This record gives sequence, C-alpha cells and structure tokens, in this order.
Amino acid sequence: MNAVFNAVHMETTHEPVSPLVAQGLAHCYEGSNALNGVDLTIAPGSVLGLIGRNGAGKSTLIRAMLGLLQPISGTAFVFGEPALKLSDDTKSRIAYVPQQPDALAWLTAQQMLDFVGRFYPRWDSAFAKSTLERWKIQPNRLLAKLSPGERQRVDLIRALASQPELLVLDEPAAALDPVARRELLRELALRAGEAGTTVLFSTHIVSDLERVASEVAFLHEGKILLRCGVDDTKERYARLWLPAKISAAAPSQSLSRRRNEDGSLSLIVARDANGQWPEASTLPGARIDALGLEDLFVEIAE
Amino acid sequence: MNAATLVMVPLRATVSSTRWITMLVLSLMLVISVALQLTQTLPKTALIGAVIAGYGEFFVGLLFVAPFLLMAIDTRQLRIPRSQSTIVLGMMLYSALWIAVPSIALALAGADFVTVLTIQTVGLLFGLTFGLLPRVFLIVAGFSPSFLGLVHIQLHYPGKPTVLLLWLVASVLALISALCWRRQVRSIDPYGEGFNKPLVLRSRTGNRTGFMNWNDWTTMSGNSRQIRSQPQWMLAIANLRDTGPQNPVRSLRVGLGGWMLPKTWQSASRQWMLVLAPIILMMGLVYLRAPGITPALFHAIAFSAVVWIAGFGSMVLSLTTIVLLQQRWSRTNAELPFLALLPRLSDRREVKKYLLRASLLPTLFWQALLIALLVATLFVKQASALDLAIAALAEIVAVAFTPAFAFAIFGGRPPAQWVTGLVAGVSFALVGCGTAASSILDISRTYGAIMAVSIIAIWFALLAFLIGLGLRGWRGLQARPHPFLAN
Repeated sequence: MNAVFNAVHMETTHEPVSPLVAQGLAHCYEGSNALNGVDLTIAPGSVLGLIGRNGAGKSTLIRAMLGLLQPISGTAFVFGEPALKLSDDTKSRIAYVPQQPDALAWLTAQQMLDFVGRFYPRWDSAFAKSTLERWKIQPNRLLAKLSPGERQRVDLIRALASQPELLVLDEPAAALDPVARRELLRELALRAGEAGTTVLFSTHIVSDLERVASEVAFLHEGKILLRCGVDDTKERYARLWLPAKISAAAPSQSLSRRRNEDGSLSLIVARDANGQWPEASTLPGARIDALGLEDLFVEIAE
Repeated sequence: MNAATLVMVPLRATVSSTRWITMLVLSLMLVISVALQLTQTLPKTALIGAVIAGYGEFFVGLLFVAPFLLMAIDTRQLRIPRSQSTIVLGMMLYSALWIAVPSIALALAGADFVTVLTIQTVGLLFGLTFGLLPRVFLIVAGFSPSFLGLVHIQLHYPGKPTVLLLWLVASVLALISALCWRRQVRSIDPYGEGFNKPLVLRSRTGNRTGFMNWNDWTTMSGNSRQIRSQPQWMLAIANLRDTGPQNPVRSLRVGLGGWMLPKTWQSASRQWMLVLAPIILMMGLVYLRAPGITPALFHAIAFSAVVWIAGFGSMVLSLTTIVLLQQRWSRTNAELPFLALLPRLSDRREVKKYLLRASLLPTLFWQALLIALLVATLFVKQASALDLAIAALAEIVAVAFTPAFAFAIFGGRPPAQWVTGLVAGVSFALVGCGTAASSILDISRTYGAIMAVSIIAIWFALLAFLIGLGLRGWRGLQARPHPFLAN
C-alpha cells in the first residue's frame, strides 16, 4: 500500500506551496474573542500538533483555515487557494476529521465509505475495507448506532482512504481507547514519513504530540504563544525561578509569569538569538529548570 | 412546600420563550373570540368563540402544562423530597388560572360561563394528553378534527355535545393524562426515547427545561440520538444508486438526510404505511359503524376538512424541512464540513443552485399535490369566495415558508429562534381557526366581515414577513463564498 501512496504522490506533482497558511485570522463568538490575529504556516510534509486548553480556539482555527467558517478578519490559504473558495482539485487533496464526527448518521459505515469514495479520484477502497475489518467495525451498522469511538474510527478511515496530501484532525484521539490511539498515531507517522502527508492535529494529550508531531504550536486565548520543533522545546524553553529579593531583575520578555506565595517569581523564558538564557538567570539565587512538553504547556496555559 | 414554591413551579418547568409564545397564542385566540362575540349576533357565535379560545387552550396544555412532566421526572430521579406533590399542585393551580381567565373574559363578553369553562377545560386537557401520550398517537391525532367532523356529519349525531358529555370527555382525558404521567415518572428509563414515549420528552436534549424550545426541535431532526430511538423496522434505508459526482442533487439529498434522503422502495413503502395506516383505520371504523354511508363518504367530506388537511399538511411539510435545515446548518461537526470539503460535488456557483433544488423540490412536490387536491375540491364543492381566499392564502403562506427559510438559513441570516417559533405557532393557529373549527361546526358561512378581514390580514402580514426574510436570505446567500457555512 505504501508503494501505492508513493506512486500516487509522485504522479501528482504540485508546486511546493504551503498546504496551510493563516494570516491574521481573527474571529469571535457572541462578543468573546476566539482568535486574535493568528498567523500560522505549515510546511509540506510536517506534522504539526496544535495544543491548547478547552476553549483556546483550536477548533475555530482549524475550521477557519479550512474555509469552514468565515473569519471576521484575516485570510487562510490551502495549497495556495483561498480557503473559502477551494477548487475540486484542492478539496481532493485534503481530508478533515472534526471533533466528535456526527455526519451522515443515517448511513451504514459501508454505505458512507462507498458514497464518499465516489467523489475522490484516489480513493483506496481496499484500505477502507481492510481497516474496517481490522478495527472490528460492523460495516452494516448504522453510523448512528456506533459508539463515539467507533464513529471516530470510521471517520478516520474515511479521511485516510482518500489518500490526502493534507490531513487535518481535530482531537482525533479523544474518543479512542489506548490501543486504537496507538494505531492511529502509527498510521499518521507512516503517512507523514512515507507518503509525505502533511498533518495538522489538535490535541490535549501531550504524549501523543511527543510520539508523532514534528512541531508543536501552543494556542492560548486565541493566540499562538509559541511554536517550535517538539525536540527543541527542552533546549529552547525553561522555567526561570527568581527569589523575591531579586525578582525586580526579571526579564520583561517571558511566555508566562507567576508570582509565588513567598514572593518569588516563576517565568517561562526562551533562549535569545545567540542561544543564551536571559541575564537574570546568572544572578545569585536564580535557577533555570528544564521543562518537559507537558510542564511547559501547563506553565503557559495556567 | 409553601405558596412561593408552588408559584415558582412553572418558572422552573418551562423556558421564558415558551411562556411568551403560549401567552401570545392564547391571547390571539381570545381576542378573536371576544371580537366575534361582540360583533356577531348569530346563534352559534358564543359556541364558536368558545371553541376558538379552546383551541388556544390546547396549546397551553401542550406547551405549558405538559412540560411539568419533565420536571417531575428530574426531581424523582434526584430524589428530591415532596417534589411530586408540589409539581402536581402547581400544575393544577396554573391550569385552573389558564382556564379561568379566558372563561371569565368570554362570559363578560356575553357567553354562557359554564359552557365556555367546559370547552376551555376540554381544550387544555386535550393539549396535555397530546403531550403526555406516546408519540405513536400523534399520527392518529393529526387527523382527529376531520375525523370528528366526518363522524358528526355522517353518523347523524343527535344535536350538539352537551356540557355533561364534555365533562365526561374531560374526565377521560384527565384519567389518560394521569396514567401516562405515572407510567413515565415511574419508568425504569424515563429519559429513553421512542415511539412509545411521550411527545413532551422530545424536547429534552439540550433543553434548559420546558417544551418547545425551538432549538430543541432543530436538534431532533435526523441526529444520531433520534435515529437510535427509532425501532429498526422504521429506520430509513438509503438508496445510493445514481449518487456521486454525476448526480449532485441526489448526492446532496444523501448529505442532507431526513426525509430528503433517497430511500429504497421497501423502506419508503414502510414509511408510507405509517402515514396511510391511520387513515385506513379511520375509514374502517366509519365503515364498521355505518356501512351504508361508505360509498358516499368521499362526497361527504366537507370542503373545510380538505382545506384543513391541505393547510395542515403543507405547513407540517414546510416546518419539517425548515427544522431539518436549521439543524444541519447549526452543527459544525457533521454534514456541513463534509459537504463543504467534498470534491467534485459541483462547481462553486452551481452548488448553490443544486442545494436549493435538493432541499426545496421534495417539499414543493408534495405541497403541489396537496394544492391539486384543494383545487379539485374547490371545483367540486363550489366554495364561496371568502372560503376560497382563506384557503388559498393558507396554502400560499405554507408553500412560501420553505424557500423563505431555506434562503435565510443558507444565506447565514436565519431569524431568531423565538421568531421562527412564533411565526410557525401563529400559522398553525390560523390554519386551525380558519378551517378546523368550520369542519366540526360548519361555520364557514357565519364569518363576519371583521373576522375574515382579520384572518386575511394576518395571513398577508405573514406573507410579507416571509418575502422579506427570503429576500434578505437570498442576498446573504449570494454574498457567501459557499453555502456550507454554519450559522
């Protein structure tokens, strides 16, 4: 099957434009800002994990980037085309799985895959059939009657069987058990590594990011707070702890800042262009702590 | 339990929009009744006024009183002490108030208080029973006014129903309501849905409380929960033949689902049987009661009964379609992203045209059939100009409903939910006022000029609203880059 992917990928030679670009996306719901001028570009072949707390704007950002909502300002492009005016060619190159998918509940899993397959030129029906069997989903059962996890898996099969060049998944593992989650991540890594599929996925589960993402973007209150390679986070970011008596020397630039009960200060800081930590870290009593991805996320999001 | 708790019960059992809609519908009925009472001097006027107000009481029973059951279920599940008696007493108190106020108003306008009170009680209890009975009874209940009219005419019922008989009917309805209430409250799975569960339970999903929150109606059409609640034999089986890029309209119908879904003939036959079975059953009943009159049955169907069936049917068709579209265009994780990103569905400009065809044509087709039935009846019965005008207006408004709301929904400019609920409520009330009452009492000739002008004026106002809504939606649809954007 991988050979098929590669062959298809080589056949469809497109200009190396960014699969997804967001420029100044802003949106709000009933007066509260969901997106605050988000800029984001995803390189071809990369796997970007979008992480953020509930209500951070992850789903809104994904939907705006795919042209599924009209943002108040800003633009998004998919393979160089305006997201709100996608051509058939571009649509056939992308696949999207929403959070808790609930589409076409009146069809059986088999009917849904048959129906959708008619629209995609590179539909891999053999993959759809074998994966349904492997994941033990009854093909003749109505989608409405499947459990949320099964439903999510059927939608993932739908997305993967279309052999997309860009795969966008909104909380894909939320309803999956650990085994199915591991299988999904393996499939994503395979697609990205061997077929060069670009993947954008949002998640709360930091270990999933570490397992499969090449890059991570932290979305907080509608803004991308930081974006870096998953392997770089430990090197680039750290917690700077300053005791109360020297807290006035804290750097003005930091990703987060928290005053502790004893008056000491905890900040998330990044290395500068020369690879140096802020000057305050060299002061007597100051301390730099390396952070794992999860700690970094918690420190920033708190 | 104290007086304050008792008074607060409806505030906790219903949402404010429901209370407002109920009050508006009843007020409208009451104003019509009082106006009739004050302007007409015909012998039947008092009775007609009482029946119209009673029709309003039906909505009170259905929209305001029946939802008390939801609260009773919740409080029982939460094991809140003494809650059941408080809810039942609150329900009785407010029912008495809802009945007393219109009765006194009509009595002051000159009607006989006891008759009016009796009719209001029956009306309210009909609504309550309607809400508490298992949903399967809905199919039969939809035809009941015509059926009653038919039986009344054909079986030569001796005279008007007496007050005593009506109180007997009220007692039976109260007993049925009590049994349904008890059965549901004590059920092992009181929240489960299905055709054997009360209608009022349909409003539970996402409901803050109460019945007829429009948002709840829009979430119930064709979603997973609704499908799961149906028995296997009733589920629609999709027919995917001829779907795909070569047939975008049929493919869009698969994407929209609900009653627009192309079905296998076996599945379609089963669903048709559900509609036809009650009619056949009613005919059978009439035949059993009076075999001699059956050949003349179709000739005897009153003009107003056909008008009512056509008006009610068209309105239900429109409302079903609107509810389905509202629901589809409100969910961001379902059909909209799927359709928006589906390649080769059609050209970006063409897709709007195909979407309109897929969503409007099935409804308009069946409405056209109902209009044909109406026109045929008009010729046979040689209806008066006034009856003709009211019937035609009801049909025109019912037909205009679907495109107006479809444009508004696709164009991203749907009206507020309470407006939709209000317009639908008023339309149903007008259909009932204009035709259902006449089917029972044969009052069409007694419409005074004021009554007729009032009904026609309200129909025209509704039509103007729909035209405005449709134009606004059409402009919105033209401005949208594609129609699959959630509202």
